[in-house]
Amino acid sequence: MDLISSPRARRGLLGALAALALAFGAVLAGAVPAKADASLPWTHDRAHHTWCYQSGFTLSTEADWAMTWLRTQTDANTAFWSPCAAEVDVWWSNFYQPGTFGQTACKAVTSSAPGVCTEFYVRMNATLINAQTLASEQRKKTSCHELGHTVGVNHYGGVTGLPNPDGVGAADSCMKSGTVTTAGAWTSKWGPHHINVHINPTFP
Amino acid sequence: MKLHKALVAASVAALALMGCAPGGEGSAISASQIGGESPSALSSAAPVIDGATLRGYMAYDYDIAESAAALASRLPYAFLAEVVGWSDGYSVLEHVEESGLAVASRTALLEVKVTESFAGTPVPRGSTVYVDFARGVENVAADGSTDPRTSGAIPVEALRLAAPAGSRFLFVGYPGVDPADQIYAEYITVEGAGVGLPEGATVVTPHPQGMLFETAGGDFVSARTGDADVRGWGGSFDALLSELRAMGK
Repeated sequence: MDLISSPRARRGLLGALAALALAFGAVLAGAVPAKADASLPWTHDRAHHTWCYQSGFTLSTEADWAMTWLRTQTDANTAFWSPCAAEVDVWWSNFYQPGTFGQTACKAVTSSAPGVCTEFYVRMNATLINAQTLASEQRKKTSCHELGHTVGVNHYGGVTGLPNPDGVGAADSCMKSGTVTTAGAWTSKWGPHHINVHINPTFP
Repeated sequence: MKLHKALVAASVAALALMGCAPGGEGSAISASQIGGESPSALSSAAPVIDGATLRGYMAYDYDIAESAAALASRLPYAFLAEVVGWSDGYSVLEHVEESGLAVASRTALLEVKVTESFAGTPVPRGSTVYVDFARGVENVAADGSTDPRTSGAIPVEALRLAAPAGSRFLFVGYPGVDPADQIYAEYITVEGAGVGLPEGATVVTPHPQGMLFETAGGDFVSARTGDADVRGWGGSFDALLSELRAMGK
């Protein structure tokens, strides 16, 4: 009772109830697709994925491959647009930030449901990627990895709490985070858990 | 801002209802981590940290460090600091040829006071450092306007509330990168470079795992990558500090 009588606690409780009501409403309205990965700050808008490049983008070959892998490995459909225009789902660009192979940012959300992202900005750190021992594999893996973030899956690897979602000993997928140290088909594939539980249920 | 928080809370709650089970790729973000008030927060004088707002709408591909010490051992800066204040930083605009559209990468300038330095480049106690803090990306229309209802950039005022002055955090990262060197698009402009920075200021940029704020309950939340990426690091904020202090012995 002490907790409820506190004004701050009351505001918190009301906020939580409002959040739950909004969340439930969003689910009923179909604004938030089922099975989005809870550890990402967004889910996508359920529409098929169009893509484009910003001027000067240097890894278009790998970006094209990644968009094709998404189309062939999952229920998503993809289509290329040029030049970039508002409402294209995935914009590819280059950037440089130390220690980061790639970054996916949501650049436009749905005004009625801010957790639903309608446009993503995928940025590839070509300088760092091309400096790797397995640069070709790293280009593929990071392209696949960042595109995976746009369809609602998060990465894994490294520490306790971030195991491969396909299980201990299962084959790696491109959602493994960080430097590519072994070449192989894993750099251009999403794992069964990500495809079946998170990606496919979000596409019509 | 209240609306912003409620909407973020709503979206996170919706995701939590349907996401991976705990122990998979990361469990749902708790209410306290998005600005709610846990019982421990109510009984402590420490500020409530809104991790979800700080993280904004970004995800990364990077080498995940197994521990705070492992990360600090390989990067130039590792220090404990207190927030002094937030202000708007520079923006880098990438223009779409001929259309007039642009994509703006927005930043905030976070002024901090260093209270303890752990490894790498020594930073004197009490010195002021500026953190180059990416706050997201948004569309800019041909007429230069933006739409705050759909923007992917977190407003500076929201960051100010998410980590108020006096908040303590662990920083691990790199020297700052010149804004013009961060984007390799063909048509870019930089707005506001150097605004708010005194001559000779030390500017740093965080590793994705390199900004961990102390919470009221003595735990920590990540201000950059998702909390799942640092879940395996120690049990408390003080435990992280002890781990880093031990590096110097």
